[in-house]
Amino acid sequence: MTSEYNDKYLHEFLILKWIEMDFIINRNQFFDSIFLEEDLEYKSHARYFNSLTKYNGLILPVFDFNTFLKDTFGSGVNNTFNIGLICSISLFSKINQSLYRNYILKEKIDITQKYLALKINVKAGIKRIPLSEIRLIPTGLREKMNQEGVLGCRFTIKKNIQYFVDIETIICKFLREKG
Amino acid sequence: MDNNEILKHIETNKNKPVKKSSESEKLLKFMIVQVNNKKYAFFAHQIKEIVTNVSLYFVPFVPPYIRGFINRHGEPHTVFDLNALFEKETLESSTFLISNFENDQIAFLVSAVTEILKIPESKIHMIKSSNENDELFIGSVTSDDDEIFIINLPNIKVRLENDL
Repeated sequence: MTSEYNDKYLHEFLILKWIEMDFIINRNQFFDSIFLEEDLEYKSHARYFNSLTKYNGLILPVFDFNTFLKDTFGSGVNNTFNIGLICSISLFSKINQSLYRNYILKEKIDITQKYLALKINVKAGIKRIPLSEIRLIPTGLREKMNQEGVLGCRFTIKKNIQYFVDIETIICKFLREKG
Repeated sequence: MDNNEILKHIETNKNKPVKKSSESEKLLKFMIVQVNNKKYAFFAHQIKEIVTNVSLYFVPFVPPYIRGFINRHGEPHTVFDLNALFEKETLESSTFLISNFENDQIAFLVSAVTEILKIPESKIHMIKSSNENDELFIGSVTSDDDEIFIINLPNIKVRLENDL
């Protein structure tokens, strides 16, 4: 891929490898990962929050990112093992932190306000990607897709597309819908 | 007119541009495309490239007439399906017109490019209807007894903005 920019601007992303397309997530949006072997089902007010997991003695709600991606992009993945990315709520914007606190209060169960887990398929890997390879969404669709949490895309040598997604925007959209 | 007169005439007028009978009227160039069983016209200057057999990538959160992205020179282009827009049926094809918009990357899915026409400005029939779909056309041109509607690209972009 040719680049008009200096490729020294590398950044770490997590690449989720699905069948028809891939997804890339900023590595800074999570700080740890766990196996989701014993996640407990529960009925939440917010869509895609349908299980709980334990992390360092805390109970975390799990956002089912796999199902969200399948529902939204119509894509699938060839693996059934899942892991949980641990995201710190303190990295959210002030407005979204408040939104999350309100969600926790409504749930009326003992779950932490500090972290949440994002359920993803284990078929993923961290890679340093030159920012010059990531393209903005074309102008006509940019505002709408940014609001939905799709910030850009990248085309790979294998002629595949990778969507650059913002997990905070995606999660908070569902907290807001049911909030 | 004898030969001397002919030569004199040529000498006198050699640097003057030849005025053709049709020059008094401006000719506009159109690209005529087939979309399913209908023809549409684009102003030729609005199209910079025709590409075939490239991958079409699904895009969520968009109306049905947005079929996805194609990758052109590493840049995503939004693909409009004119058949889905006008006839509410998706088009099966792999021919794309890349538009010349300066501030957006837009492509159109068509069945085929059929011809390039040069048409006198006076032969273009402007549309003055308030019908919603008519706003997506500037007017029409006649070719081989076919009335071919001219796509209004700026208004198609406005339509998308309204539908999002």
